[in-house]
Amino acid sequence: MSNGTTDGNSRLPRVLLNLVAVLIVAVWLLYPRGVGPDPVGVIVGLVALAAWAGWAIAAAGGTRTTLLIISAVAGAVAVEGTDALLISAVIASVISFVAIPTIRLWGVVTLVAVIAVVLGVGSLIGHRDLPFLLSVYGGLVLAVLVGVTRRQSRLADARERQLLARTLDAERESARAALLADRAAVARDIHDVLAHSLGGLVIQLDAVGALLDAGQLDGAAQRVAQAHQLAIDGLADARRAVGALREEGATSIAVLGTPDPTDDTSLADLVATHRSLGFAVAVEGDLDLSGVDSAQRTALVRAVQEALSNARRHAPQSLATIRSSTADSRMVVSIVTALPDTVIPDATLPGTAQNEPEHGHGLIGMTERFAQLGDGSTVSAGRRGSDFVVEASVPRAGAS
Amino acid sequence: MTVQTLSNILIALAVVGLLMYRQLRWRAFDPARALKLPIILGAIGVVLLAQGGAGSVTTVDVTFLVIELLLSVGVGAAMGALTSFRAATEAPHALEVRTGGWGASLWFVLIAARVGLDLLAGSLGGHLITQTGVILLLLGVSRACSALVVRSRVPAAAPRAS
Repeated sequence: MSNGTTDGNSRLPRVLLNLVAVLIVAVWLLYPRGVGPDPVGVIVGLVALAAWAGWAIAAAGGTRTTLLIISAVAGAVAVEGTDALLISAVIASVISFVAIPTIRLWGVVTLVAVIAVVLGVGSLIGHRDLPFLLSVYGGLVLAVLVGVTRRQSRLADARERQLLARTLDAERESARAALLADRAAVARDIHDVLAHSLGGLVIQLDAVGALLDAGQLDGAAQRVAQAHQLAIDGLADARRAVGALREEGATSIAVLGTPDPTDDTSLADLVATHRSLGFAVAVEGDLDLSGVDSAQRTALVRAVQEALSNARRHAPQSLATIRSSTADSRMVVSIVTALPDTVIPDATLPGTAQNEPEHGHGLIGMTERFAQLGDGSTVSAGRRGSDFVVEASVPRAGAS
Repeated sequence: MTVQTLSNILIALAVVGLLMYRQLRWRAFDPARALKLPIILGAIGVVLLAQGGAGSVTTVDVTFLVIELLLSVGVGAAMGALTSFRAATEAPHALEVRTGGWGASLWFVLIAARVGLDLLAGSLGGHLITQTGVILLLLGVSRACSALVVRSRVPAAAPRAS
C-alpha cells in the first residue's frame, strides 16, 4: 500500500500500460536508424528498460523502489547516447518514485539532483546544443510535478479512508452505549418489580404466620387474599418487563420509560397498598400529580414506591409522610420517615451497619431514572435531622 | 587577473567572513522573515545574470549553473540541519539559533567547489558561470535552503521553555 497501489485488480491496467511503453521504446531503440546507434547508450538503455519493466510488475516495497532508482539513473545516463529517447524511462520512473507517499523530501531532492547532474554532464560530453539540454530538463521538471500531484491525491485518499474508519468506530461505540443504557433501564424495572412485589409478599406472609399462630383464621385468610393479589400484580409487572426486554432496538427504552397502559399505579394506589400492609402513611398535597407529563409521573411514582418500600423494611413502626407541593413551576414530592432509634437492617445484606438504612440498587435505579428524564429533574435521599427524606423535584410544563 | 576581479574576490571573501562570524554567535530567529533576505539576494543575482550574460548561453553554462545550484542547495540544507536551538534569554518564547563551527565551515566547501567548477567551465568555454550575479544567486539559494530546513525543524527542536 505504501507505493500507492491498492488491490491487484486496479494494478493490472497500469502494469500493462507500462509494459507496452517499455516495448515501444525498446523497439525504437533497437530498430536500426541511419546513423549507427551509440553502443553504450543502447546497453545502458536496455538496462533502464529492464528495470522499468521490473518496477512496473513488482509489488510495493524496497525492491520496487530500488528498481525505480536504477531505471531513472540508467535512463539519464543513456539519454545522450539515444538522442533523448530514454528520457521516457527517466520521466516514468521519476513520476512513480515521487508519487510514493512514504518517500521523504530529501530522497526526492537527491535523486533529482543526481539525474540533473548526469543529464548535464552527458550533454556536455555529447556536445549537445542548449535546446536539447533545456528540453530534457523540462521533462525532468514535468515528471516531478506530475509525481507530486499523484502523491497528494494518494495522501488524500488515505486520509479519507482513515476518517471513514474512525466514523465507523464512533458509530459502533454509540450503538454499544445505547445497548448498555437499554439494559440498565431493563434492570431497573426488573428490580422494581421483584423488590417491591416480593418484599410486600414477605411482609404479608409474615403477618399471616403471626395471625395463624394467634389463631385468627379470618384475619389470616384476608391477608392471604391480599398477598395473592400482590403476587398477581407482581407477576403482571414482571411479564411486562420481560416483554419489553424482548422488543428490538431503541423502542425498548421508550417502552420502559412510559407507563404501560395496563399499569395505572398512582400515588393513591401506593398509599392504599402501604396501609393495607399494615403500615402508617400520611398524605399532604395533591396526589394526582397534575401538570407533569407521563414520563415524570412514572419516575415520581417509582420514587415514592421505593421510599415506602424501604420505610416498611427499615422503619416499620414509623409514620411515613408523603408531601406534594408546587413552587416556581416545579413540583416537589417528598417522603419523610422518622427514623427510630434503632433502624432494622436489611437481613439479606451481609454486614449491614445497625443504624444505617441500606438502599442499594433501589436508590441507584431511582437516580438513573430521574437523570434519564433529561429535563433537570432531581431526586435525593438522605438523612435530615432525625428523619430520612427522599425528595424528588421535576419541572412542570402544564399549569397547576 | 584584473583589479576588478581581485576586488570582487576580496569583497566576496569579506561577506563570507561576516556571515561565518554571525553564524558562530546566537542570533534571534524569526520564521516569518527568515526567507526575506535570501529571496532578495537571489532576485538581484538573477537580474545581474540576465543583464550580463544574455545572448550566447551554452550548454556548458546551464550545466555548470545547475550543478552549482544543487551544491548550494545541499550546503544550505546541511547548514540548516546542523543548527542548534535555544530559548532567547530576554523573551522566553522567542528562539535563538546558532549554526556552529561545522556548519560555518561548510562555506569553505562551497567556495572551493565554486573555484574548481569555475575553472573547469572556463576551460570548456562557458562564461556565464563566472559572473558576479551567479555568486549572489548561489548565496541566496543556500541561505534560503538553510532557512527552510531550520523552519521545518523548529517544532521538533523547540526548547523546553515554560
